[in-house]
Amino acid sequence: MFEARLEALGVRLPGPFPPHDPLDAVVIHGGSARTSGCLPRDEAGHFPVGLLGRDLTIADGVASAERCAWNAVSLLRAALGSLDRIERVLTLSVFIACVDGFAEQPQVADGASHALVRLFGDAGRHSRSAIGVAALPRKAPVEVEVTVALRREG
Amino acid sequence: MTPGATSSSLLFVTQVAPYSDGPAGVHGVLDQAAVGVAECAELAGLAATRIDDVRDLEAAALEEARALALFTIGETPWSASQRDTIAHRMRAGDLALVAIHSATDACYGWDDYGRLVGARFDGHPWTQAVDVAVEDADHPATRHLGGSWRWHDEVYQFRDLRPDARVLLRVPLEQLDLGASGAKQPPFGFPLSWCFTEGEGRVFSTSLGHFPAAWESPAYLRHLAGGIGWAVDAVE
Repeated sequence: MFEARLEALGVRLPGPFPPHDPLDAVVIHGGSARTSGCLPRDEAGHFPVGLLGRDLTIADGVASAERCAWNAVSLLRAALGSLDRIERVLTLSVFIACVDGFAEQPQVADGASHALVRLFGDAGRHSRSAIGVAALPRKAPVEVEVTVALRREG
Repeated sequence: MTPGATSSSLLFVTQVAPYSDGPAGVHGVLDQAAVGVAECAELAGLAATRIDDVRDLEAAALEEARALALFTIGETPWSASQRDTIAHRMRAGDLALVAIHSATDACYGWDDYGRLVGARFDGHPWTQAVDVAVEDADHPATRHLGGSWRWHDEVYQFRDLRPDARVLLRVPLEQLDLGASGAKQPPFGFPLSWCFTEGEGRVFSTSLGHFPAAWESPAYLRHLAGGIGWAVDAVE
């Protein structure tokens, strides 16, 4: 059903872009699956660089957070074989590279949260932390980790 | 306004018009490249300044920079005076040149430019993974790569490679479909990276770096950092 929903939304998932060795893109354990941190890559792998509050606007940050979420979904889909194995989203960690004094992390992180709720509906609701940081890998503006619960099989 | 440059500065020129937004799809990678170039420059003791348009580059910055790194395409609008400064300072050993990815596909209206970067772009018939032969492993740009390096990128073809170019990386013939559209068989084969000395100056060129994965690859970044370090004579 989530696969059908993805198609209905018309979202083209970027990637999947797995991390380098020895990291796993997704760890599946004990009925849950957790992604590595995802950067806001487009289909070609490009992402914006810079800090919120200096180089990028809130709208840029929201768009990046959404892109991060789609990258996480892409990793989950590749690791699980189908999004329909997901029972629900559990939690998000959203890291936002920003200048000192920037306080709009929740607004930026909403880009990721809304994307997941659009795809998974009520099962996309989640707990979340939105964390401002000084720097992220390769100067990406946002990084998102997603943890989901899996359906019991059989 | 161009930020000031000093003798410990590297100017990174990313002027790719008319390809910046076009269907060629280049060079969404430039922001990521700028991050990587700045890191590589720092390893050579240089502070990088990005220049999106050389018409905004002040004479003093070009007069004082230690290195000029180019990720350019097309007719970069260098003024006659800027061209003279680059050629003169480069040959005097005061300005190292670093040609990145598409820089050989630029400045067709500047006769001397091909000599300064070592060759002219002659199409890229292939985009694929290759087992690159490390032709010269005794160089800071290649020492970490072993004898062969598996790499995915646009594979450029060149003409007018300088005879004195020290080829560092080359694609073995058998790795390429020589029947591909636009493919030729230049006498020097398919070099991807080289270096040379012109006058007292040093030039390093790598045609790799089209895809964003390059700018996250430690192997690629060491390749580039080694090339920059060699060009400014900061590493053996």
